[in-house]
Amino acid sequence: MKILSRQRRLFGLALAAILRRRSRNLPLVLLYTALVFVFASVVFCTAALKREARLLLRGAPEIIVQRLVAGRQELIAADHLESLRLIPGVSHVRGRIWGYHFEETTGANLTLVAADDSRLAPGTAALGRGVARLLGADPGQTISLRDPHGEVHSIRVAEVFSPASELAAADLIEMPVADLRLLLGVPEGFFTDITLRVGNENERRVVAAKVRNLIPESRVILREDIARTYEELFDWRAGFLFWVFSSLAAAFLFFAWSQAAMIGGEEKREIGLLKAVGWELPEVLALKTWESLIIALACFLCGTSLAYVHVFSAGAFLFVPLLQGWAVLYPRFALVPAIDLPQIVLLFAVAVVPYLAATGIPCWRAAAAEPDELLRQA
Amino acid sequence: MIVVDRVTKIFDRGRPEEFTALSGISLTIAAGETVVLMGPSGSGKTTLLSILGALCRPTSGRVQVAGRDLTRMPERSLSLLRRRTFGFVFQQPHLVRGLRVIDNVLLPALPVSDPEEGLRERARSLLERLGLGCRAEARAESLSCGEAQRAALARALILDPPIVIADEPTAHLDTARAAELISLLASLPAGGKTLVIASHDPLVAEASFVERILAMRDGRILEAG
Amino acid sequence: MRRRSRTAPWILSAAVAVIFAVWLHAARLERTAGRDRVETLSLIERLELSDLCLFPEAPHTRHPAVVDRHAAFRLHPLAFDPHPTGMFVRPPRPPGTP
Repeated sequence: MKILSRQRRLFGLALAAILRRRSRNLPLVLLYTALVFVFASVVFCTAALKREARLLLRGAPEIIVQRLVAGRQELIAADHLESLRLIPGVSHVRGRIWGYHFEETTGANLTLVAADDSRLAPGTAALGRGVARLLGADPGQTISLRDPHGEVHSIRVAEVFSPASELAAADLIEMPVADLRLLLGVPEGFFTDITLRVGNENERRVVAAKVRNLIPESRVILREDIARTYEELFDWRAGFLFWVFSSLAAAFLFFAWSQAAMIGGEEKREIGLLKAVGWELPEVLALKTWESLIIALACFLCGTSLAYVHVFSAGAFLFVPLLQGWAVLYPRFALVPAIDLPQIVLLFAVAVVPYLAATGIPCWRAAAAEPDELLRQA
Repeated sequence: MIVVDRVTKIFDRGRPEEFTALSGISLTIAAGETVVLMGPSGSGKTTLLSILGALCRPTSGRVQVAGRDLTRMPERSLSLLRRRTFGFVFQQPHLVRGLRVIDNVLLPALPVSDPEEGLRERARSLLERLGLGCRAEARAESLSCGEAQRAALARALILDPPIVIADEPTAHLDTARAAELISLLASLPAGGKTLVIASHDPLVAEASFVERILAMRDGRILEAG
Repeated sequence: MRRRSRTAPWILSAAVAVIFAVWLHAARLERTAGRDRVETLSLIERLELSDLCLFPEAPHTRHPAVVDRHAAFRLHPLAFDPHPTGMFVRPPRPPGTP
C-alpha cells in the first residue's frame, strides 16, 4: 500500500512536469502518436485480412489439380475425373471451368465461373457486386461479353451477389456451364482444373502424391498451401511496410533520445534540486520513468485507438490505396477486428519499450551527476 | 558536530580552465552553533556550503558530520543524509514551477512518507509561521522573490533537520524582507538547530543570534570573529 | 498533490472508457461479420473458389494461389510482381512445397 501511494505521488508529480513542459512535449507526442498509429494500422489491417482469409478459405476445395504444359497451366481433360474418383479417400471430384475476361470498355479484368447445372437459365448470369457497380447493371438488365471469336453475347443479369460476399466475389460473373464454355473457348471434354474433396485431413498429402503419380504433368495445390500462401503474402506485405516504418521509428527514437539528452536548464535544475533535498537516484529515475511512461502510454493508447477507428470504422482509407494499388474494380469490404493479446503485446513492445530506453538512458546519465554540479550548470 | 579537515575543491581538474575554489580549509562547527561565512563573491562560500551539505564531494580532505565521514559515503547514504540531516536554502529559491507552494514545501518528503499524514499539517504550520499561510495553495511561480525564499526555507525545514544551511538567503530581498527572513532564521537555534549561513549582507553578520563569523577570501578562511 | 491525484483517476478512467468502447465496437462488428461470413462461405463452397478478391487488376494477382508461376516476372525480372500490386505482393511459392 505504501509503495502504491508513493508511486501515485510520483505519478502526480510527473504529470505536473509533463503539463508544465507542454510546448516542448507537444511535437514529440504528435510524432509519437502518428508513428504508433501507422504501425498499429498495419498490424490491425494485416491481422484482420489474415483471419478473414483463414476463415473463408475453409470453404475452398481441399485439393486442386492443374495440368501444366511447358510450365504453363493448360486445360485438363475430363477423362481424369474418373481415375481421380477412384483414389481412396477422395469423396468428391469436380471439374472447374473458370477464366478471366478482359472487359474492354472499362478495362477491368473479370473472373468468370461456372454455375451448378440447374441454377441459372441459359443466357443469364449472376454478378458480383463489384461487376454490377462497374457495369452499372441491375437484375433484369443485360450485359454484353465478347467471346474468343469476336462474337458479342448478350447476357441477362439474373442476380447480384450480396454485399457481404464482396471479399470473395466482387469481380465474379457466374454463368451456366454451356455459356461459359462458349465464352471462354473451353471445348467439351476439358476443364480449367479439377477440384477434389478429401474429408480426412491426414489423407490429403497421400492423395496429392497419388494424383501426381496418376497425372505426371499435373500441379497439385493443397488448401493448406493456399492458406499458407495467403499468410505469407500478408506477412510479407506487412513486413515491407514495417521495413519502411522501422526507418521512421529509428528517426523518431533518435529524436526522442537527443531531446532527452539535451535536457534543458530547467529540467536539470529540477533533478539537481530533487537530489539536493534528499531524493535518491532511484527515486529521481522513477519520476523520470513515470514521465516517459505517461507520454508513451498516452501516445500508445491514442495511436492504437486512432488506428482502430481508421482501419475498422473508416475502412483504412489512408492505406487501402497503397495496399491495393491501382485497379479498375475495387472490391469494397469492411475489415473485422482480429485483435488479440499477442498483437497488443507486440505493439506495446515495439512502441513503448524502445521509447523508455531512448529517454531513460540520457536521463539516468544526467541524474547520476552531483546535485551541486546540476544546480551549477543550470 | 561538523568537522572539516584540510578540504580542497578544484573544478575542471586537468583542464585549461582549472579553478581552485577551496584550498586546505579546516573548520569545526559545534552542534547548535550559528556560523556565518562572510566574503566577496568567488571566495568559496557556496562551494564550502555545498561540501558541508553533501551536495558535492571535495577533491581532497575530509568532512565529518556527527562522526561520519561524508567523503567516503556511498551515494545512497549521502542522499539519506541530505534528507534527514540537512535543510538547504539555496541562493535562488529553486521552487518547482507548476506545483503549488505547499507541494513544493512537501517535495523532500514526497518519496518517503505520505504527505496526507501529519506532514501536510506541519507544512501548513511552517508556512503559517513564515507568513505564507494564505499562499499555500498558490502556484509557485506566482510568489514574489521574498515569498519564494521563505517557501524555500519552509521546504528546508519540513523534515525537521538538525542542520540548516543557507546560501545568501537575503541576496534577492530588500532590507525589510531581509530583516524578516533573518528574524525567522534567528528563531531556529532556539530549536537546537545548527545554522550555517553564507552571506555578504551586513544585516546577517550583525544579527544578534550569530555566534561566529568566518571571513573567507580566495578559498581560504582568513579569520575567526 | 491533492489536485494532481484527482487528475490521475480521471485520465485512467478515460483510458479505460476508450478501451471499453473499442472492445464493444469490435464485439458488435464481429457479431454481424459472423452472419456475413456464413453467407460468403456458402458461396465459396458452391463455386469452389480458392482465392480472395483483393487485387482483381490482373490475372496473376487475382488468384495468387493458383496462378502461373512465370506470371510474377512479367514486367521486370527484378520486380516482385507486376504493377500495381508488384510493390507489395510476392509471387506465391510453388504450391505443394512445404
